[in-house]
Amino acid sequence: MKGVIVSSLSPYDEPKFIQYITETHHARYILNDQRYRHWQFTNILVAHAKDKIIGHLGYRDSSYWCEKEMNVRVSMNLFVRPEFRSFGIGALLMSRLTDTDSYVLGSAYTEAVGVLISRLRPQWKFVGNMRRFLCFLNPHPIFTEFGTPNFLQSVSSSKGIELVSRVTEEFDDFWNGVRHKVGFTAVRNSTYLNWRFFNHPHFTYKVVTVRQGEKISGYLVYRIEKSDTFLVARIVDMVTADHVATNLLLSSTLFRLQKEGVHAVDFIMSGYWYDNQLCEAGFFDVENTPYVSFPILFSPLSLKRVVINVGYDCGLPFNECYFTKADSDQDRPNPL
Amino acid sequence: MINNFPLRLEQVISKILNVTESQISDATAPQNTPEWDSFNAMVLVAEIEKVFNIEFEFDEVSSMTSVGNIKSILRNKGVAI
Repeated sequence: MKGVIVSSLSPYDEPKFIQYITETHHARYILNDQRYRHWQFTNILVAHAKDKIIGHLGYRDSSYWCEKEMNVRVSMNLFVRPEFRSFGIGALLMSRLTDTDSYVLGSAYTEAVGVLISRLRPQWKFVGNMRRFLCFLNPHPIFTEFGTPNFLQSVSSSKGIELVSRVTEEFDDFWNGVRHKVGFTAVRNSTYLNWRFFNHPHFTYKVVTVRQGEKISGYLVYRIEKSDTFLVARIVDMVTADHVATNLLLSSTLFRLQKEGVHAVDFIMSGYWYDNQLCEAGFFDVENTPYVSFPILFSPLSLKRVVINVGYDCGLPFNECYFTKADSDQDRPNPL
Repeated sequence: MINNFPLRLEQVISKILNVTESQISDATAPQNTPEWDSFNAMVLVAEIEKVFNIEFEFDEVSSMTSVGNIKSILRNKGVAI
């Protein structure tokens, strides 16, 4: 096919890309934010035709742990102008993304995109949906339509946890000591943690740690989101060395959040790594409860249920993997 | 008109979309054929180009909204089908 060129988004494409995003989404859509794009993506492939951009696909090459550290290509954002769909443009873009020796990981993709990747990568398959735990700290009218929740009554103090403003090399030692517990997960060394949680162009994350003796034994990351009068804390990552650290991190963080007037806390993740500790702390699994339809998007508030599905080609069972909302581009701003 | 090709258009479409030739008509389109997805559209264009020894312009590909349209485009390129 002549007349379609796929290339990496370059500074020369910037005006056309902004026009394309504005026409297909809206002017304030997050992909029009250059700082966000530079932070989030290793590369954005763009399809040009008829002197304009007709589609794009963003990805990030990231370090993942899969018995050893390896590069994984995380597919994040595929879009083709509606008038040019069904002509193979999406497949053309995806074929470039999958042209790699690395494993390919995707999350929150549509069924059509899932089919597309699996056609290009026969080993690639949908493995499951992330799970969601909720905890209620303070009353708010938003809870009414889902039934009366049980609010957490007594939480221990926040002693024992430490808020950090930057991650140092001691986190590398901690990570190297716990990484073998999980089959497939993002490498959470200091480079990753600083990039993901301290260099984000828009979000302010809180990173709290717990120690046993002098050594770090766990960390938890959250940010607070506000929707009108509703305050929700999103735990986007947590890694601990043992149950003692998990219990201390959860209970102390909940104590802090309750004092700050936060109404609810959620944690979206894969696997069954922390179920008992989450329940002991006051969380519950939303599956099979009215809160399964509790909003996932708060800024702006959306009542449309969003399931975060996951697919990959590394072959490991889903319950041996650990993904959180911090993976891929799931925790991102959605300006109106 | 050139007419010396190893496969007919319907055979190419049947092979790529994995449907029988009897299921293919001029009205066959992505909207009524689930197998005609983005991946198969890409493969279909490449396969038609290979079999009929031609190369499509993007404008032609973006007009391929049905089998009938593909036939028209091929005829305009001098391919007897």
